Amino acid sequence: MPKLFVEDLAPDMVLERPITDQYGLVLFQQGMVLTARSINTLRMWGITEVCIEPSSINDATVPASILDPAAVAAAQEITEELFRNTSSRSGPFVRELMRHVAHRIAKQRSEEAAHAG
Amino acid sequence: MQVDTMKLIAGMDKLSSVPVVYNELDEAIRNMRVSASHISSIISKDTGLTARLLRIVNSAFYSFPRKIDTISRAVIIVGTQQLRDLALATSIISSFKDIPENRITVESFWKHSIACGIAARCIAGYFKEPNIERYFVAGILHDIGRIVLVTKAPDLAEEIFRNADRTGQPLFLAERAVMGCDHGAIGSDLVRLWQLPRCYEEIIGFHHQPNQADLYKLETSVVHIADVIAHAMMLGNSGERGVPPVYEEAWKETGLSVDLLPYIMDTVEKQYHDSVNGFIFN
Repeated sequence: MPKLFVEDLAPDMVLERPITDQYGLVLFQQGMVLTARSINTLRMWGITEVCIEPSSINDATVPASILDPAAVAAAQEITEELFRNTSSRSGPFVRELMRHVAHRIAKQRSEEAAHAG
Repeated sequence: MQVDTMKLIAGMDKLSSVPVVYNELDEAIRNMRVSASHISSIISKDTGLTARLLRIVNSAFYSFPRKIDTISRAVIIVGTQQLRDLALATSIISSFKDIPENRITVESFWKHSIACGIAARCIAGYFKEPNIERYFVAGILHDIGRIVLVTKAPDLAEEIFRNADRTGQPLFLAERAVMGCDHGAIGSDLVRLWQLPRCYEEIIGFHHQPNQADLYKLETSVVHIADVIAHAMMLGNSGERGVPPVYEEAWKETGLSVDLLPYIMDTVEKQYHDSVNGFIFN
């Protein structure tokens, strides 16, 4: 079940799980084929990660960006620790910065894991 | 306890050529009729500075399509004020090569400062600031007070580091608890002693509480944000563990969209290694 960051999504990828908002309301259904427009919508909703059907991932478009779930979890933890002096609910700048930092760490770790493997 | 910061920085005005080169260039620039060749002749007196400046203007820091091989060409292409500020940045870095390395290494310290400087000049570039190198210098200088602290008062510095280790609080707060002021105040006094422009005093003094800046609130906010980004990207280290407390308002002060963040981080990433080589290893 590859989890991709919204930045790494590409049109024609298929949702492996439904996208829900914070109250559990379904926004996009499972099996939906993504378009440039729906990816933009995800971004506007503030969705950061999405589960994608593995068979719909085209190796040519996103070869290195499938993130190892262990790396994503570790990156999340490292980021929380890095920002322990600031409330994560403090505002859009901190939230966005934390998200990009976590993404960067997860990418580095995934690449390292791929090299090691 | 209230530490007398002026005592800490006593004698540091004679320590290096930092203010001399800067003030000489600054005076020449203020004289509007000055020529590029006159500026070049001031810089060229210092062969080390000349070599460092040429390395920097030919690095990813600028990414010019063609090689610049003389200072007089650099003056024309980069600009006089910009070159004056780069000369200041590189003079400061090369003046502080020997510090006690118990807690921070000189290399990791300058790496953090360079990352902060790159982030600051990149942010400044987004709001069309005519001289972005002023922001780079501010980034280079923002933690200079900590170098003063570990060099002039190593025992006090060690006590502060230990307190921070024990309590888990940010280092600048541990400094305030022990000294009654933080490295920002020390750095601010040092640049006043060097007679650098007033903006640096304020930026350095308030980079951990940009809301208290007065005349240079935007500049201080930019350096606060840049410091946060450098810590978050874990590039170098100036003694602080983790990202210091973030003022959300500092980002609002810049008026920029948070969508620019990944681009700013990419720029820092791209320019970092080349800049470190240009500024530190020579």
